[in-house]
Amino acid sequence: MTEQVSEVPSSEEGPNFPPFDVTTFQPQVVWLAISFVLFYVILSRLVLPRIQRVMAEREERIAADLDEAERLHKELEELKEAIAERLAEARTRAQGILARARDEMREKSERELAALEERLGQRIRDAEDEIARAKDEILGRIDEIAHEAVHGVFARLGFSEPGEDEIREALEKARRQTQEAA
Amino acid sequence: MPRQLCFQAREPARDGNGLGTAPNPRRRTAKISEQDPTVANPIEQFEIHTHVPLEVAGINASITNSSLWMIGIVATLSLFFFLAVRRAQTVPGRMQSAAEMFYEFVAGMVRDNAGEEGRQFFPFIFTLFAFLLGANLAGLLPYSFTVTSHIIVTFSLAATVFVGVTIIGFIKHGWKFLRLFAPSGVPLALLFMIVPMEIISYFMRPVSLSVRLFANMLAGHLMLKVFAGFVVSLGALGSILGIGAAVLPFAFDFALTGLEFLVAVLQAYVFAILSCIYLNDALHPAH
Repeated sequence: MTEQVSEVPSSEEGPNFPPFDVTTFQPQVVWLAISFVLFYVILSRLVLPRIQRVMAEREERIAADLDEAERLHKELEELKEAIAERLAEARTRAQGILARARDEMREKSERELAALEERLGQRIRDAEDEIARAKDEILGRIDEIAHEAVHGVFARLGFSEPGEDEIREALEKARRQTQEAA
Repeated sequence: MPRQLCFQAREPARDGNGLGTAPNPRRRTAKISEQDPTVANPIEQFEIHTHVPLEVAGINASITNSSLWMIGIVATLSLFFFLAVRRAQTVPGRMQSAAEMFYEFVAGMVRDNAGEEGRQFFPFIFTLFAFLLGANLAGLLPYSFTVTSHIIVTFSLAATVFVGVTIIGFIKHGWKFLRLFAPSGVPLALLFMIVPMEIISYFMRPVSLSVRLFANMLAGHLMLKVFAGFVVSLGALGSILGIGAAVLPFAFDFALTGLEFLVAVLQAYVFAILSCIYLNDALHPAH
């Protein structure tokens, strides 16, 4: 159809539309073929393989770097794990040491406390003994003192002194009364 | 419109007749008389001028403005790509990045539309896309010639794709390639209608492929030139009214230039992607 338009340029003002001018087709096709094939050869031989190579290289490099990063990351994870393990171990050991120290301390303090108690108990007992002794002594002498007091009172009042038995009886009575009262 | 505009075709137009066409003296006189010197002829930009007449083995291989532009485009693009990859580095420079982006773009297009088997035809698609893009964009340079505004150029490329794809289809699948025309899952009764339609649509492929690009380029450049002509003729009126009115086609041309850049890129892309799709049909004919 397109050819027909340009095939009839018979009339003077007939369509002479350049794109439909068949006489120009041959050189255009020839040069299109030449330039296109040339372009194809240049691109497919010189350009595209190089682009492909450099892009493949880059991809490889990136992949290798990623692998390396992955490896290092794994290593790091392992190290972190080891550290955590060691840390946990150290912590348990520290806890053990601490517990042992605490036990020792407690034992020691208990021992010291016991010794102290023992000593203090001894002293208390000694003191109690002494008090008991003093008390006995005083209680042993109380009759004598009472006698002396009775004699003294009677002599002062000018009464005739009562007999020893009478005094002893009275004293015994008084002691009973105080004991009952207590 | 083109027909009407042809009446005004200026004298130099006839140089474009190529080798071996003798000028018609009658036509010459007729045209000179009709010529309006203030109006630029919008058809002039499509004319083929023979610079060096050349005939090789009976074939007209004259060096024309078209062939010079083709060679120029190829040389420029080759130079760009060659410089971009001359010292290709793992960490690319600006030009190498651009070349790689182009490469990735086309590789993605081939992969997505023609599958993994399409990879071996990648250099061809790359060349096709780069050539068309270069030709379309070079056509937007002032005073340039648009190689792709000639139906014979786009048709030759489309025919190459068509014939190549058909041959590949038969090589890969033998007679089973014809299953392309009989989509699976279609009732037998419908096949009598479907198959002829599929065959017709198959043979219309090179036509639609070439006419799409050709018509887009032609129409775009015609519009640009026609409106540019309006600017000149309105401006030539001289009055404030004329110059004021000339601003409108100028603004239109300005916007149209932007659109033409889009069209130039888009049509190159459409041509390449359709070639990929046709290639895919040859590689995987079963629908």
